[in-house]
Amino acid sequence: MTNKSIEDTVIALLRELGCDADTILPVHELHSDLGVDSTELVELAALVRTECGLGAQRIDLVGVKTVADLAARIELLLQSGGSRCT
Amino acid sequence: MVLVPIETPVEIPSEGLRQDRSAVSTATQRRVAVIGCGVCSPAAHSAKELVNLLTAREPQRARPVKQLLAREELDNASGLGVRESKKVDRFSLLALAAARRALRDAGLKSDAVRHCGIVSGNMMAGWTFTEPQLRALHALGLGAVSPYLATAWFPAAPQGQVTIHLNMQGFAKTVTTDQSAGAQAIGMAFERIRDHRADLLLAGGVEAPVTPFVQAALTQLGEGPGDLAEAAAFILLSTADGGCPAIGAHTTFPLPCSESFPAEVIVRQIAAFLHELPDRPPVQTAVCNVAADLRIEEEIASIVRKAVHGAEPRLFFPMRAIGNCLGASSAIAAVVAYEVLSQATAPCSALVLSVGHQCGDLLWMYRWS
Repeated sequence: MTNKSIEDTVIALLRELGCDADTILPVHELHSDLGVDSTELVELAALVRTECGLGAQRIDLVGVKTVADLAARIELLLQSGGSRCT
Repeated sequence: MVLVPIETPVEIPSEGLRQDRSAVSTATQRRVAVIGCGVCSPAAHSAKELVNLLTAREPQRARPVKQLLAREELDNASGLGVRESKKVDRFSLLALAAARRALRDAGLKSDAVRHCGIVSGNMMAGWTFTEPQLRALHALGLGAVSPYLATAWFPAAPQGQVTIHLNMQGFAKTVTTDQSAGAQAIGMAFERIRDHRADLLLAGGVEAPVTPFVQAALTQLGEGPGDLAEAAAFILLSTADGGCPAIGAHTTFPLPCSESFPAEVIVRQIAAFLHELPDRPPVQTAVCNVAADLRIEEEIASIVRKAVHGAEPRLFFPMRAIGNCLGASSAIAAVVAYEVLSQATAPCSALVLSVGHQCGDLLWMYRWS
C-alpha cells in the first residue's frame, strides 16, 4: 500500500470523524487546521485501527502534527507486519 | 453518582446549599430577579406551553405524551453540529437547548452572556451515553469504548458544555443530589447574587433518565420507572429590578431515611420557612415536583393549605403532565412558578416545594407589580 493511499484513507477517516474543512491536504495540521482535539485524535486512531485491520496495535501519536505525519506512522506499522488498509 | 440506599444517613454539604445568613447582612442583600427562562422537554418547549399543559390537564391524570425528544429535534435545539453532539450525553444536549432558550428569552446580548455563570443540578449524570459504552466494553473490549465517555458521563458535563458552547465565563457549579438538585442549584445561584458574589447566573436542572440502568435503579428503590422522562429547565437570575418575578428566600434540608412520605418534616420546614419571610404578598400558587402519585399529592396539598393558614393556593404538580424527570423536576417546578407569577396581574407569591430521596427544598418567589 502506498503512502498516498494511506493519506487518502486518513483524509476519508477525518471526514468520518466530522471534519468539515473544505479541503483536507496531507500538509494540514490536525489540531490547528482541522480542529482535531486530543480526544478526537484517540477516536481517529481507533478508526484507523479498524480501517487498516491493525487490531489492538498501538499507534504512536506522540509528535504527530499533520495528516502526513499520521499516514507515515501508519505506514511504519504496516511495514512492520500489520494488516493493510482496505 | 449512585443512589444512596435508604438506610444510609445523608449529610447535606453546607457550602452554598443551606441558607448562609452570616455571609452578608440583611441590609445589604440584593433583590434577585428572574429575567428569563428556558425549558426543553418532550412535552413542552417553553414555560408558557408547560403551564398551558398543566392547566389543561389539571383534573386528569395522564402519562407523559413522550419520554424522549427525537434525536434530530434535540440536536437542533442544542445548536451542536454532528461532530460535537456525538461526544456528549443527551443531558448535555437538553441543558444546552434549555440554556439557549433562557438566554434568548431574557434578550441577553453576547457581551452579557460572556459574564454570565451557571449553576446546574442533576441526579443521575449521563447514562444514555455510558450504558452502550459499558456494553461495548463487556462484549468487545477496551478498544470499543468511546474516548468521549469520561467527559460525556460526568455530572458536571452539562455545566461544561453550556459554558463552552455559549461562551459563558462566569461562576460555574454543579449540584448532584436527588430530585431537589435543580431547586438547590437555583437556591445556590440566588444566594450568590443576593450576597454580591455574582451578578448574572443561569440556574436550573437537567436529567436524561430514560435508560435501562436508571429504570432498574429506581425499581430497586421501589419506585415505578414507567413515567420517567427527560427534561431541562433553567431560569436566569440577575440583580435587574423592574416588574420581573423575584426569588425572596430559599432553604434546603435533609429528609429522613424512611420508606414512608416524610410529611412531618415537611410540615415543620414549611412552617419555619414561611414564618421567616418578610411582609409577603399572599402565597397564591404552590408547585411541587413529586412524581405522579395521587396519595402524596393530596398529602402535599393538605400540608400547603394548612401552612398558608387556610388560604386556597393553586397547586401544580408538573410531573403529572411531563413525567418524572428526577433532578430536573424541581427546576421545572420553579419555571412553572415563574411563569404563573409572570402572568399575574396583582402582587402575589409562589412556593416551590421539592421533595427528593434525601433532600427537601423550598423556594419562595414573588411579584410586587
